[in-house]
Amino acid sequence: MSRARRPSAQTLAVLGAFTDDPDRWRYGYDLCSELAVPAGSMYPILMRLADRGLLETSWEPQRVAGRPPRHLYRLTGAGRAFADDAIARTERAPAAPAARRAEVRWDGAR
Amino acid sequence: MMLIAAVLGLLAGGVAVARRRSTAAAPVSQTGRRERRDAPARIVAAAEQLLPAARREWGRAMAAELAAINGRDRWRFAAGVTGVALAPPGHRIRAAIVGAVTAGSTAFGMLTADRTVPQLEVFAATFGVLLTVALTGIALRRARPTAAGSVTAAAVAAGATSTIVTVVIVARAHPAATSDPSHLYAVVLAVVLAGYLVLATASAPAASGAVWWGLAGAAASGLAWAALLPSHATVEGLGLQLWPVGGIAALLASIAAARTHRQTKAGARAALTAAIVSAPLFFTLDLARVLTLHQYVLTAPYDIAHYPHSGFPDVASFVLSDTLGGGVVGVLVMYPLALLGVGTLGGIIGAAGRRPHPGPPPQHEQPSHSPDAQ
Repeated sequence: MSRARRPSAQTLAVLGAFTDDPDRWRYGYDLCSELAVPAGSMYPILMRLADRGLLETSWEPQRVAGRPPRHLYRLTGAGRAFADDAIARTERAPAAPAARRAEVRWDGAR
Repeated sequence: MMLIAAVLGLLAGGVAVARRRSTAAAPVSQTGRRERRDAPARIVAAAEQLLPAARREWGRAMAAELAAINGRDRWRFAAGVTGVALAPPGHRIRAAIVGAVTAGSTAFGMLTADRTVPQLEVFAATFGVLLTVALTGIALRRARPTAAGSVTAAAVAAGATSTIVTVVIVARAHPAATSDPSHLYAVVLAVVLAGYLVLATASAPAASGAVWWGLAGAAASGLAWAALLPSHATVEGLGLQLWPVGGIAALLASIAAARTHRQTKAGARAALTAAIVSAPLFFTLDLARVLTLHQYVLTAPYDIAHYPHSGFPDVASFVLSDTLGGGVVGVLVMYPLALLGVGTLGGIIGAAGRRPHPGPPPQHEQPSHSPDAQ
């Protein structure tokens, strides 16, 4: 049985990138560049999403001269539902304590 | 000297064969020439090999991605891939538990060594730190071990324990025999025993058959040594009889493994398994023999001349120190290297004239389905 854990900020960013154009297949390195997430963080996120059936993977069907086929990723149906739900929850969630502290005025009044 | 030259010769031959095969396996470009990989590509290729079998496709995916990256980003990407290979997702909590337990055991072992055998404190610290790092890394990377891997790990753990117990007995009975201001032997012993344990757990499921052959070879060595021991009433010459027995057992095991799997490397793997299981037993038998026979007599002219200036308080400490040093270098280091050379030879003999098993087709050539958009 897998536990439903709250996605990290980086995972949410990755899910957000996928939901911008859910039908589009994405390359791992393009996601790294777009989101400024290093490969050492990006690939574990992609692996976990794929392990949970939220991400489908495929190899490039056409051969490109001079390089091997690249791996492609996009959300599954379950992945899209999960991403929409996770992003909506984050938007509904109360502001973080640090943000709330910033709203307190110098004299303590809100 | 002849023995060292033979070991080095066998190893050089094995390395030459491995290099030739590695070159043959390098990717071929469109023009039919072997591609030259740059450093990031080599790092990513090495990292791909570190990944557990279940994550190999991800390794290929990351290696393929590197081919589309230029400039300094290649180094950053390679560093990231290395991080993923060293700590892939899936087993981080298990690794944290293993690391905490081993680190706690190390601290306990160091405290115990400090109170009972202070001359072995450096060994306890080095062995504990290496074991903590190695076991944490294995827990991060490995899925459930195979039956062959579990049996090997248990046998090597038992052998390492018997080796350490024997050294502690010597240290308690003759403290001067284990006193080494440079701590060189303590560090070598720690590195070797930790290395054995890592090698024992590092076999891939596909190598299980070869590992079983190696275990059979180690068991045969052990039985032959047990049969030889009662006929030996002196400490002299026992090691010279144990070496060839172990070598023959490893050779036969490696030939059988290579014939079964039709691969040279199966022979080398069988011999390596036989070596890491039998070497601690060899070390323990040799030292236990000296301890039980109490024949602390100097016979070699060099020892007779060297002893008065050695600083040892008695002949027993001198003899035991000599046996310990010889055991660490000759039995725990040189013996496995020699058996690895013998195993490579046995692998070549066993695989000769046998075509390798056909491997699975490369998956990246057959996509699961065609992506419809970019």
